[in-house]
Amino acid sequence: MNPDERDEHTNRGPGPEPPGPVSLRQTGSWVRFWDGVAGVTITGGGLAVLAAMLGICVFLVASAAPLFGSGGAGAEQSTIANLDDSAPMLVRLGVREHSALVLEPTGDLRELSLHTGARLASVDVRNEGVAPSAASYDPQGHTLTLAYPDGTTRSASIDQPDILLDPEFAENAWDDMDIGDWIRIDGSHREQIATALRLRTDLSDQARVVRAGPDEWVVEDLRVDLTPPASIPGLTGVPVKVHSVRASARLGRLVCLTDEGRLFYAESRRVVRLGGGGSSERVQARETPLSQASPETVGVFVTSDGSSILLVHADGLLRRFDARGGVDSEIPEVETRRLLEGDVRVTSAQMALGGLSLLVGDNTGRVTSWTTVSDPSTSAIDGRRFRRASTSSAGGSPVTAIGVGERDRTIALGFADGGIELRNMTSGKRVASLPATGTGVIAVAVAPALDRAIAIGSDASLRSAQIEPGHPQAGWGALFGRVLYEGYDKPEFIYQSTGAQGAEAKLSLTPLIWGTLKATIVAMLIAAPIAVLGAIFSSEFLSPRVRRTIKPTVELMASLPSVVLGFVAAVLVAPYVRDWLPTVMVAFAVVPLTVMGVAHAWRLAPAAWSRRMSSVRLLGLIAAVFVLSVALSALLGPVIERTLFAPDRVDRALAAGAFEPAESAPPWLDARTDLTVSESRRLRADGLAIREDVLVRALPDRVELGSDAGGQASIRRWLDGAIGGPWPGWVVAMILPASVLVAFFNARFVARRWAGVVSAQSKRAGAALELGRFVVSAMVTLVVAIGLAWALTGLGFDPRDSIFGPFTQRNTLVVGLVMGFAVIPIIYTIADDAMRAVPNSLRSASLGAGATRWQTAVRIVLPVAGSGIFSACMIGLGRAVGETMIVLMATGNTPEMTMNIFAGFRTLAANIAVELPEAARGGTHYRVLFLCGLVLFAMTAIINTSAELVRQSFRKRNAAL
Amino acid sequence: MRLNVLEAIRAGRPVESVIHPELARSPSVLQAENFALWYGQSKTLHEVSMGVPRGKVTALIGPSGCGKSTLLRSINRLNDLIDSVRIEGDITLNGEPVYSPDVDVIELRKRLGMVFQRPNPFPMSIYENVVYPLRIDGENRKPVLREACEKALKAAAIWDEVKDRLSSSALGLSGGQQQRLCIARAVVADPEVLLLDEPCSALDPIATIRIEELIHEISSRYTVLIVTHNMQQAARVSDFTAFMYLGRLVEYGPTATIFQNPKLPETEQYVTGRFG
Repeated sequence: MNPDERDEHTNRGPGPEPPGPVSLRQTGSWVRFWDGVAGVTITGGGLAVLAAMLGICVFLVASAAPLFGSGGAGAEQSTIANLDDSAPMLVRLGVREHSALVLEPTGDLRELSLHTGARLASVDVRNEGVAPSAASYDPQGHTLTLAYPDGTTRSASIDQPDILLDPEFAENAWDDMDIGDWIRIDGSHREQIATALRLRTDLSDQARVVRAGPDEWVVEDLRVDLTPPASIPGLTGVPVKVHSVRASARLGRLVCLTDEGRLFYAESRRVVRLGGGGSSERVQARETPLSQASPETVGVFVTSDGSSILLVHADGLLRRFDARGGVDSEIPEVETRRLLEGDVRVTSAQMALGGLSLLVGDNTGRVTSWTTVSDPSTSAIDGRRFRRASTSSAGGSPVTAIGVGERDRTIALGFADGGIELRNMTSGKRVASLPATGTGVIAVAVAPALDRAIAIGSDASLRSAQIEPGHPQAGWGALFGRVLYEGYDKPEFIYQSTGAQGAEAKLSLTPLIWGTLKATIVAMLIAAPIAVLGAIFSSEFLSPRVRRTIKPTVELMASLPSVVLGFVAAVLVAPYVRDWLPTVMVAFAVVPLTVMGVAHAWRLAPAAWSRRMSSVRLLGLIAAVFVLSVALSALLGPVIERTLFAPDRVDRALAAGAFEPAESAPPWLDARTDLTVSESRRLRADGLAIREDVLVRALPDRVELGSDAGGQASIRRWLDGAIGGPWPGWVVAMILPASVLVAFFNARFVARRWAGVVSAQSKRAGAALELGRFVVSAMVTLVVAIGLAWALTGLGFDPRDSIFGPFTQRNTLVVGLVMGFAVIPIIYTIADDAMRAVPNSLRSASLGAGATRWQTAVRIVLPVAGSGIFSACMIGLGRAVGETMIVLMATGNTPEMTMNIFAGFRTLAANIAVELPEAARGGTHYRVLFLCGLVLFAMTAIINTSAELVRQSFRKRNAAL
Repeated sequence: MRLNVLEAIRAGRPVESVIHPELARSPSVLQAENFALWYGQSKTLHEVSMGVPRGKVTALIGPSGCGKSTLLRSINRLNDLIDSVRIEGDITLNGEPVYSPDVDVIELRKRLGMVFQRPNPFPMSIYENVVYPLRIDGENRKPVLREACEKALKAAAIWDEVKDRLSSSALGLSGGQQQRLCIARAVVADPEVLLLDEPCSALDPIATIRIEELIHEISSRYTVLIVTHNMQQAARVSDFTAFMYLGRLVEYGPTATIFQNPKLPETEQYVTGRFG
């Protein structure tokens, strides 16, 4: 009730009330109560929100932080092992991790208790009484391959079953056993247990019962299945010094170095007899001549892909042999290089898990890992080169033993001073270390789960320690940097969290950050101009009445669930863009040009037309022009595809078979015939190609002009690199830079003089002149773009190496379009509000001074509303960065790192959504996903903070308005 | 009581404006002929016919809502921007009809400088504020702009106060200085008529006096049409005064006559503050 009404009301009453004594009234207790309640609630709510935010942040950090920490060593025990010889050929941890498997040089395979050092089991692996001279173990196949001095080889599959006994049954028999005690199963028990367990397989005579807990008895066994001896042809009777083996289900690879310094490579194939009767080994071998007398050899190895044989010598020399041809061809020595500088000596060498990298330990305590990579510049005939992948820091004491982990690239190192270290070769992280004891380590092994390490010392001591591995594969370098992964040619950013067992985890988040930025930038490039121009139009040009309908409509766009947009993107937009690719690409230039051309032409129209133009009609006209421009694009697209992206003369000649062998090859080609797409493009630019492994020169003159050899013109074939040269793509790519260049030139050098020319003309003539200038500018832009394209082509650049590339249906452009659509309403509505908030007095002042509405919008409204428009864009950016469903559905989620706008990508948000279900709680992968969340959080925090800072400075400038 | 002119206006009956003969003798730069204006359904100006003499200061007075500002804004067609506005009749500037279809509104506005109730400098430097009308006209030559800026600032009697800080923000000036800056901006393009829409209503008395002195000074160079609801101000600065009431022109004549010896008693009552 306002005061006037109250007066009226009292006047209408029976009479004026007598004025009472004036006193200060107390605020009512209810009012004060509710005021207090509201105050407490609001303060509490605000604090709760802050606490929740902080809590989420702390939770993310706490979840991700362990990735960067190292593990540690736990309880350690040491005992004296029951060994005949203190230099075991092989040491591994038993299945239940309370025993060690040791192969003695005497040919005895023993299982030793880690607590007491006592012998739990013992299997003889000698061949007719002869102890093996070399052995190697393949953790993936659980196969031990043995070589004997007489040139024969046997392999043993090792099985360590452990069977839990029924407590009721076991209690009767072995209730008096202490926990940790064991008892060998002898005759009477054997039948009993076999019956009780209904065992399908027999227990060997090594079987024993172990009391593992109060109510837990376990039957353990060590079963070794030895194959009959197979002799390596040519090697019979020759003592083998060192050998190595890599076996898969069908093919075993074996390389042996004899005492006399002869090198043999053998392949054993398992031949299964038809009609039953088991299998037999068929061994074929080839001797490789060693050109020079070998110095002391530390190890010989064959890579798991069978491509190289590696010979490592104590003085740091590595010799590599090309074994790609197998036993059927020569195995030439292709590379000799020093692995270590100075007089550093190799003290230990081992193949890493995966069998592609070599680990080399030296007498300074350093471990380096090496791998073969393709390198076109190498002189080796297989085009490969041995390259260092990682180096650990020197520890001082020589590395005397290397044990390879079975799950990831974590290795155990034993040192001459008795120290033990667990180190991950992918991340370079030191996982755990055990202190030096002064007794040198002879052999070291680590459990598959990395939770226990064992070592045998030179005094036959058997050490074992619990390990807290932490997250060995993660670290700053592995999570954000380039890593030379096994099987790759150079250090790369790769994200590939899941793979085959034993595959190297590739956890670089950089491709995901790249994908996030790529999606965001493309979406913003599409959304920001449309949204801001739309906001200018609706706030400065539309009548308030029309604006009142349009604005809520656009805001309604924002309420479309992003999963629906993603669905539409995947099943509607993506196929459409694929089918209408030329049209879509052309539309980016044609639509703005048509709209601006019509706008210029409109000025030529009689003034009466524009007076009759209400807001609604104007909108209709704009819509019509838009439809017209789209139709024009649809018309022009195929034309441009036919003219620019057709097979060129070289393509047609090659397709028609018009070529002859080329007389000279470009120097970079060096006789290779297996080329990448980009290399064959480069060749074709010189009129060359590879046909049936022969370098040929195309003869375009022999093909008639009208020939349709080489197939249809197609942008997609051009993108895939199948046809055409670089320049048409450059023309398309250079339109935008060229138009910016021309606009800049126009503004800088032409505009002032031009204004004088136009103002001297009548209104119609001036408009005609302006239209002419626009057409000329468009032409000039095209010419400049062609010029730039020609120059870039001349310099040897191809757009298909950067912003274009092979086409995938769900690509960056599709995401940009649809995510742009999702972001437009937010930017539009906030920008529109910001511009409406500009005081009308400023608009009046500008218009009153004779400015047009456009000049007013650009010179007055935009600068004043700048902070609001900027925050609108930033809020849109924040939305785009965190957007999940659209990118999840509309991209292939391939974590690629290319500039190609027709390639897929994976964003941080989509990565979390895709992989969370398959991440084991608390594991490295799980924490990496939390790290993704944290990085995303940091990105949005940085964006928002910088936006806020910019906004503050804007606001300060306009504070007095 | 002969208050029936105003009563007749309130009743919506047409009333003949009383226009003093002195006006017929001075040549007018602006001339409204039966000019009427509607905002949607409501008629805000009722067939106003009046001329604005060249080189003189003409004041429009009248109670709030009588259409003074609307009339002013009709002259430079700022009312066009409002969707529901409809007009009848015409206004001529130097004999050229302002509302003819051929008229380029932008060019028209450049010939009329306008100053608003509240100082509305742009959030730019003082210099950029003053030269804004020239810049939008495509003038980018530095010497020309500098010269015009200095001239306009001197004409607005603010040059001495701001000449050392031309590049600092105009928003840092006081209200009175801002209004004089707006006057400088209005005169920089040499307009034919200066339209002042209650230029002192948001200013303190001292700033008001400065503006009034300024209006007095520039009246030697420009024709000024000033809207004011301050009778003393009209009496002090203007040569002619028009009294409007509810969208109609009531009486129009030399200021001295209007204030001392008006033809209508209603005018006298208004200027002496007995209603309004």
